[in-house]
Amino acid sequence: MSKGLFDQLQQEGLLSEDSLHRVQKHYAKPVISLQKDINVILYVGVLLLSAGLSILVYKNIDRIGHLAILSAIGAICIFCYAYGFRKSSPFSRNEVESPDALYDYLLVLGGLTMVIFMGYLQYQYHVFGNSWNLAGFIPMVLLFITAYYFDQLGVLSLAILNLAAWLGIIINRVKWPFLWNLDENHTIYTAILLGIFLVGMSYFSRLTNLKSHFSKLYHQFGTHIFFISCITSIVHFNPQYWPWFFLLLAGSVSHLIKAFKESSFYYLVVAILYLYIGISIIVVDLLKVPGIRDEVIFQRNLIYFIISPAGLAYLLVRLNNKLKTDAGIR
Amino acid sequence: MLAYDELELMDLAVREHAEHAAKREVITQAENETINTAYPVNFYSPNIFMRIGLGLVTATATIAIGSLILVLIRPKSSIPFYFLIIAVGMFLLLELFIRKYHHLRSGIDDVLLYSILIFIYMSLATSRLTDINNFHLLFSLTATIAGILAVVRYADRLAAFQSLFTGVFFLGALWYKMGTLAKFSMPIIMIMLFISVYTLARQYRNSPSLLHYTGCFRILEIFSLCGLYAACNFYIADLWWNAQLNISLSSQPSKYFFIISSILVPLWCLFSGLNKRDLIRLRLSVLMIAASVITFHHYVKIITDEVAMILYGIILIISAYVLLKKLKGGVAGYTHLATEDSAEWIDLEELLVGGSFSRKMNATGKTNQH
Repeated sequence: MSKGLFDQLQQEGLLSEDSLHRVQKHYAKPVISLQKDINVILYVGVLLLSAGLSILVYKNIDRIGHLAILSAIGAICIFCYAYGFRKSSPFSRNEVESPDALYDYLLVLGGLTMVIFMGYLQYQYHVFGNSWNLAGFIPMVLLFITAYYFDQLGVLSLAILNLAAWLGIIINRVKWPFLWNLDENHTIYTAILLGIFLVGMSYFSRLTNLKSHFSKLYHQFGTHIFFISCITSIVHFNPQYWPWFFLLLAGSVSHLIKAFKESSFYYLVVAILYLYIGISIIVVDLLKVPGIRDEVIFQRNLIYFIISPAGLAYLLVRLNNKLKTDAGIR
Repeated sequence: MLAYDELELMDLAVREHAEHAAKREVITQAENETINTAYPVNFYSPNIFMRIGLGLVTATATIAIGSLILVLIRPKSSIPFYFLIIAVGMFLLLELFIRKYHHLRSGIDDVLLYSILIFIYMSLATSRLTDINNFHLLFSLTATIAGILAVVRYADRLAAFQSLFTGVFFLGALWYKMGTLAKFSMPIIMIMLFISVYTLARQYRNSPSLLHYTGCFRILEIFSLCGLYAACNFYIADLWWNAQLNISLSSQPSKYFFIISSILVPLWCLFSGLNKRDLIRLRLSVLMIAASVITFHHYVKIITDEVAMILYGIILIISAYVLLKKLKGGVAGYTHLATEDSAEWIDLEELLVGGSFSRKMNATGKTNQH
């Protein structure tokens, strides 16, 4: 521990004798945390193991046989879940502390292998007939149950992604999941509704106090899915983009209200930046005046992108200062 | 020398240390508040989200300015001149933001600094100088000088990183011109260069008069270690010799040097990291060990790649499990629990008092005030 700094502060009368002793004691033997490092080692270990197994299976699929592969994946899945059940605390509506780092990683691995197991079963043996809908729905429900029962945010992320995949299967009526096709009307509508639903789930979690700490993750997914879908719809429905722009504006305003209510700089920046992207797309479109050369239009666009960031920076700084003042942060 | 107000930077460091102690409840919140009042800071340093937001906005404007120049300027031969003019304009703007509006790591000053450097390089890259022989030497030398000036003026870590690699490239390219012997000895020259940079960075990192450059020296230290390992690595040396001299390193007696150094450098890094309680060196050593294992696996294939992946995966999971078990009660100052304390933080504290802080105290007479 430095003899100097806090001694100086104490001599200046800014620190009591007691505090100085506490500081000296605290810093006498600083403890170095290897938590992040162990997590990275675990993550890389799980990644190497699963990738190595996948390649091994792929190269030897003729010799091993599907049943053996399914058994191996199932065994890993069962082992992970068994570890989870053994270590987990009884179900609680509130946040439950994780017993160890391995617990979290094994549960994520368990969730992943469960999805792979179901997918493999359907792909190879068509256990759900031709209903890919059901093959997507069952793992999704199981993932949500796992996330809530074991209080696992990583598995909840998987479950939300699976929800998007399942919706993609239903909407597009194809085998290829997820909401990739954001250039189709019904996919855009679904994605916007999914975003709103997830934001709703965030409030629901908090209001009902059912795993209220999941609320942030729901909101994260919901916010970005909603804004990205709105921006896509502005491009897709051009020139009828005004309803979508107003939807984007409404979303931004609601996020700004949330930012000020919860003193969140993150949502402030996110709301403003997404709105700026939306406005910029419309401005670029409005600048395309028939009869004017493309080169001139391009130059006008560039001038817009030189001037508008200055205004945006000014707005961000002002809003940031206001948020700080409102929150009492110096 | 430094664009930012050094006394204010000192105040900021004192506040950060007090905040750190208050978070750990070793000093009271009231004391933290008193320290904050006694050491006022006028910098505009917003949170990380605002910094990213302002950085993106500034980058958008900068790209638009560059594009507009490329589109508008006729004849094309005068473009480099305009790029230089913009670089000068941005430099003035950056100085204005720092001096008048007291920006410090606000996102705007970061991006403006990188834009200045990029516009200088673009000016050089679009100029007629590209036609001359050895343009790469001129370019890397200019980049190194510009990077060093940026470090001196703004204590910027990314500029330190850039000047390290362009500087090493410049010296390496100079050496390369010496002929076959230079090609043969290039890995050794690189090793010597990186060792020199590492030694200098280690030496000056703890200099109280260079307190504000500690982060830059840290970057030099980390990346010179990475460079040193890369230069020592058997696979990289083999690649170089194959490409430049058409010789396989495996057939040369010098192979033993590279085999031994590929093992010794990570081990030295690991043990010195443990000894000095240097977390970054420890992390680097793990990466180096992984790189060495991959290197040897490449040359000596006892098992197939996928079996190796499974094996290493299992080893890593078991290692993590053993570490978790062993560190449960805390061993030799290491723990598996989350804590923000690190030896580096304490080092910084030592530095803060080492010279500059006391100099500042004398300058402002704060000791007498309280």
